[in-house]
Amino acid sequence: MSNPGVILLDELKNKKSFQRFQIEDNIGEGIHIHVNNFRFDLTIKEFLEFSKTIRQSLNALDILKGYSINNFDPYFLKSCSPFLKDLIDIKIEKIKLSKLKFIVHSNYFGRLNFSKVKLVSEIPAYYFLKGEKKYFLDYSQYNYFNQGNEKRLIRALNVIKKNKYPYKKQYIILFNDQNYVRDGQHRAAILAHLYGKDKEIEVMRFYFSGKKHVFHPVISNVKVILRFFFTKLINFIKNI
Amino acid sequence: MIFVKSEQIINFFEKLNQSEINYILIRNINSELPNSLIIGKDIDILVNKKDKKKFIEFMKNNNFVEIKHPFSQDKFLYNLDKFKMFKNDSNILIDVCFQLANRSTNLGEWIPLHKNIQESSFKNKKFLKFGKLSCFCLSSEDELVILVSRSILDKKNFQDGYIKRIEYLLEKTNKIEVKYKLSLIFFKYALVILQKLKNKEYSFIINNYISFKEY
Repeated sequence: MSNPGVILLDELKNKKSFQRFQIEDNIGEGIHIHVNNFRFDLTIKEFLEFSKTIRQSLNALDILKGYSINNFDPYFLKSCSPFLKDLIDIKIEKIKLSKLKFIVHSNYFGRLNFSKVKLVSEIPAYYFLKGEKKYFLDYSQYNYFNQGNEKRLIRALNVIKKNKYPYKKQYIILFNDQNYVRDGQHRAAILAHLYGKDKEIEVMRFYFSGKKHVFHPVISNVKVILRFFFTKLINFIKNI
Repeated sequence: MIFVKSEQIINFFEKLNQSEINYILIRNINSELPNSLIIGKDIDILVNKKDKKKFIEFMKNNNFVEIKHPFSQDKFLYNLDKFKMFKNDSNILIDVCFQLANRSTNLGEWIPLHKNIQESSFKNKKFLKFGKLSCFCLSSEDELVILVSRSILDKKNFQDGYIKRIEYLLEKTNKIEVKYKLSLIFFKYALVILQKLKNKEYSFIINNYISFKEY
């Protein structure tokens, strides 16, 4: 029977590439990598060795234009992986925190997840740091296992207080000429909290060819609505 | 506090004993049964899957109505039967499962325990008396394993009543059998659990389990 102590470490949901690609930690038993109908069983030591080899390979390919993949949040790298083949250059630039824009999600009926554009002083993490905690504590965001919103933000706050920004070259990231923060919303909130909204900071800007990476709030929300009604329609047809 | 009338509980189990339904009272924490079960608290029963229909019929014939189970919207994996909840006019709440199960640490899905534990629960069940109440219960080894797995996986906490019972059972159980059965749920962490229980390090177990790396 299956191990109840399972933690899904990561998965790919792109059905075009894999029917199933999941990495699970089965506590006390082993790491399972599911690739379609195959399952690879590894010990933790083997998995860490395998992971190290993959990191070395990715660094050798220089997909991040001279930067090590260790300078980035793995979750961010995964989310922008569809664009990485179009990456031309990465530059460090300066910008005022007040010029940055933030994508904040609002969920309706469980499935309608709209994107709203906010300033640093309007994002949930900033409110939390200023003492208005509820908005951030209830805010739905990706966290690593066993790490809630508060724990994650306080940890980031302590790291920046102790080591300054950008610790380990982990910059706030923007794409091309857009000022939407693609990674580093917590860091931006912390910097605004510590030094004020007019503080000029260094950010990392990814330059891509093509338009795949461009974020349009309106188009993004229209897609959400269309997907919602399309799913409703499919379910309705199935039930006829 | 208002308690469920003990004679109603005793009467229910008397009828259940006569029905030849293969059942087990899963736990009786703090010896609440039969005299101090607060109204609103349920009685946890395991019924052999083969007797599922018979049990549902039994409950209907004894004036119980099926009500919505609080976990009815949860996910049940690996062909695990959904839990059922019954209530009667005397405020007896019966929470019945048809396989022993625990929540997964993944998304809280319910997963049946290993078939050896399922089989053992019925094979080694024993007939016990709690005052005037007589009913079938798990063997000490199985009860200990179930209390530990429930604390770690379902409740994510060792409650006082559970600790008291675990400490009592630890004294009188076959450690080799307990270790084997714990290993069917917790694999290599089973040995650590036994050490932690022995040292009464209950508050460390949950986080220690999640971050366990020796495998």
